[in-house]
Amino acid sequence: MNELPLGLAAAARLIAAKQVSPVELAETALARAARLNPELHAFIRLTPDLARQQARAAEERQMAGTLKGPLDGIPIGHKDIYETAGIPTTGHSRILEHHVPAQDAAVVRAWAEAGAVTIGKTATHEFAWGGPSFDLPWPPARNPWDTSRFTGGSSTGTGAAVAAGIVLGGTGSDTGGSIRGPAGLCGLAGIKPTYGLCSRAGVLPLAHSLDTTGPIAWTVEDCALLLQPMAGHDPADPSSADRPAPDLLGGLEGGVKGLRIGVIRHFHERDITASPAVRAGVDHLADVLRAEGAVVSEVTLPPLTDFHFAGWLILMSEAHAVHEPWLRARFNEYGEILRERLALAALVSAADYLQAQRRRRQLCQQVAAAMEDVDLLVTAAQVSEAPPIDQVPKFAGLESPGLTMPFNLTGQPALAVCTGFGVGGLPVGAQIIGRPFADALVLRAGHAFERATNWRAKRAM
Amino acid sequence: MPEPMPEPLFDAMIARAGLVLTPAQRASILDASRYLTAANERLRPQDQVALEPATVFRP
Repeated sequence: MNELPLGLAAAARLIAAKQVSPVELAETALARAARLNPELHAFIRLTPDLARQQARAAEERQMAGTLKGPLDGIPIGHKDIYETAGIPTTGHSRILEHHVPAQDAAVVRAWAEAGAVTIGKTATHEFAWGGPSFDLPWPPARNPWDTSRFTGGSSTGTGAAVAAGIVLGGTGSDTGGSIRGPAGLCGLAGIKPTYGLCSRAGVLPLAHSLDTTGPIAWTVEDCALLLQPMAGHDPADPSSADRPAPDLLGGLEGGVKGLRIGVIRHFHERDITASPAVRAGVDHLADVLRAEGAVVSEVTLPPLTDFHFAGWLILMSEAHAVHEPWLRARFNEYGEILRERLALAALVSAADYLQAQRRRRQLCQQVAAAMEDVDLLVTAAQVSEAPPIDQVPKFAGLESPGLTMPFNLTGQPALAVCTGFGVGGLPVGAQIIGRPFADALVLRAGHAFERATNWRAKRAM
Repeated sequence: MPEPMPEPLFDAMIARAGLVLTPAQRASILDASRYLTAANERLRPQDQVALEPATVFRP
């Protein structure tokens, strides 16, 4: 076996039918990592011993007919802000270069209990914010569609590893777009779940009122399979919603007939001007959903700039609160990008932060009102195809509004899907957004789109 | 895009944060402070000082 099956769901079906062994999948993933990682830098650490141990256990269950479910025997990667017992968890930072946690993060534990096979720890922007950086102990991940290009951040390595077919899924985190960015630029599916749906216990924080954990994978169906064991209340995470875990899989094939979908056209056409391929991708998504039976209209939200500024003031304040002790004591151990971003964050006053939270509450109310007549929203995921990795500005994100931050502010579920390819054959993506805790509906619509199109048939490498 | 933060205020806030910057770092961060100015100009309510700033505490 030279390459993994195309997608997690496809691999799970082969495992269930005993047509492929979890050990064979793990060895393929490890061999592919050995071959591709020197160029892609998707992983900062491989875990072959753990992978082989977990794969052998999964194979025993396969042979005994006691598979745990669709994740059993599936090779995955964990963003290196997810703590892993006995395995260094660095945040891709010199600050935690030798940090070895005693316990797994709740999500790592959940996936392991579902039988997933950990191939390694994936690259990230430093502490999920500072990158792409070239002055850290490990280089930044590169985009498998063109290795001179940026993956999007901050879940850089997970995006690269899934797009390169080294693993079939992985963890990301999303504070301002860090799952949907790599999913969009690497031609993948990735969901930022509703704030509070998935535990963040054991995940290095960036900004507590915005941080979410979630999966990146080849398809929306794969994301649903990965998200299911992540979802549910965890008393160890104070933000965790105390409500029953939703069924994310039962209605996945339900289609979009009769659903009302609002396109936030002003976000990507007027508030900022997305590239022609990105704009065409949003139109394509809307057209496909309409052809599948949805009722598509246009929706107007507050200007993207308001979400942008409120989001960044909140993110910076909360990140500074997290890093303040290290920033005082170990300032020059951070990479240049995060060091300067955190120093900038130190200039945000308490009054600035509170005014941003005030505006956030208004924005949540305004989005909720705009969604009274629609079930889902659609807009672009990224402004353009992936830029050259060495041309990403130091204060990227602050310079012009991004399309993902609005739904970190509102806490809504937002899914990125690949909508085609643009300049240089680089992928482009769009977002599907639901009401809070309507994650299953978002996944259903994304799956309907992928089922009706052929974008998932093309590999990056 | 607005001007960067006034330099005396910038230096005071950096000192309050306990940071010591090189001249190059100071220049780079001071220049970027214009984004904060822009954000605050956009988000601050004008003449509405009693607007609830989203910090209601419900015991």
